[in-house]
Amino acid sequence: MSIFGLAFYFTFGGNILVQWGVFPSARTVRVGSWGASFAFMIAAALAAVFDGFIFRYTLTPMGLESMAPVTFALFVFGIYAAIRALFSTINKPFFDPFDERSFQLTLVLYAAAMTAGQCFSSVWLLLGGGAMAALGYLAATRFLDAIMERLELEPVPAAFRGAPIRYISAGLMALAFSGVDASFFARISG
Amino acid sequence: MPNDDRTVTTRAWAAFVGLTPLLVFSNGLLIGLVLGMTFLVVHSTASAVALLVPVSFGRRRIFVFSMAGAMIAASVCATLIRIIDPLLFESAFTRIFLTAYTVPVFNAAVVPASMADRERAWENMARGLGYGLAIVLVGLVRELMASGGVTMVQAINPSVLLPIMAQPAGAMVLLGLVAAGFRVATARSVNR
Repeated sequence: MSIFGLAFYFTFGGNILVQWGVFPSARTVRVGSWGASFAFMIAAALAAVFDGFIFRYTLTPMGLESMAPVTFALFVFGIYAAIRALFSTINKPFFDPFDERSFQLTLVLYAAAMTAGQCFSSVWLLLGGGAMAALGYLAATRFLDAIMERLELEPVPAAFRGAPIRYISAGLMALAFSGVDASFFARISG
Repeated sequence: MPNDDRTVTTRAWAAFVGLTPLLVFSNGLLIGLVLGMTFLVVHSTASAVALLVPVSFGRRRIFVFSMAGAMIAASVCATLIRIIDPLLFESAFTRIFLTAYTVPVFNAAVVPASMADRERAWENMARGLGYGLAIVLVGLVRELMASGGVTMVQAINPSVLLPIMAQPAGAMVLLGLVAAGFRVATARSVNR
């Protein structure tokens, strides 16, 4: 699959917001910040490679597919401990991991890793798939934010303001994404 | 106490949003039961381990132990489902694994800050039961709306009523409508 096909698939068809319902809470990633977005894409790519390789080449041959959540948790805790050690070495404060944003970020990384791992097996496609899944999530989050900002100007009934209209907007966006995916992606990927 | 009520409602909404991936995946009674049961076991394990590990271990270590316990519980549930129905496991293993990574499970794994909170932590078990029932209920309603009937057999249902309800888009629209209905009901009860 070409890089354009990958990007197209993960932005529309395999988007983890519209397919998995992983809603951004309190700005999981600062969409406006290029650095944060890039770091998020790298993290998703690494998570996809780790999860895909462990699942395919270690757990599946041994018949231990059920242990996949445990290995991914060990990976996340390991990465966290390594970054924390790095920050303490350079005497800089590290963020508190017990907030909603950190939890949501872990869920998004896991969803991106699972989505890419289901589709690909080679290391380059897993790297690209993980990064593109993160890009698709950021794009869908930005679209949803833009829709919500636009809806603030409209006379939305009181009962639908806030979470209900957010859900319905995401549902309609999911419908449009699946339509675009079915119309174009099938042709691009052949 | 309107302020307390508002806090409880806000927390309930945050948990509801955190539970959305499982509600989106729960598109039938059978898968709803599987996800609901797994979520109940995982959530209960996370909250129980957070209470049982001594406080002297420190907040971070307790969180790691609780999450490890929750992941192992999810793995055990997945293994049991694989033994009972391998076909169901093959079609739903990603959804089963996801139960351990939802925000309510993460919140349950955080050790309560004060002694009073620790004494009230049994509420986490009841909360997990409520979330699990919500997952089953959403699966039941979506299957009923999508096919016009409910079955416990994993097979292609020939009858079609509203096929969009079996898709993620239908789940989100349904959740939006339920949220609006809940808001109207809450506003009416407050006005009384």
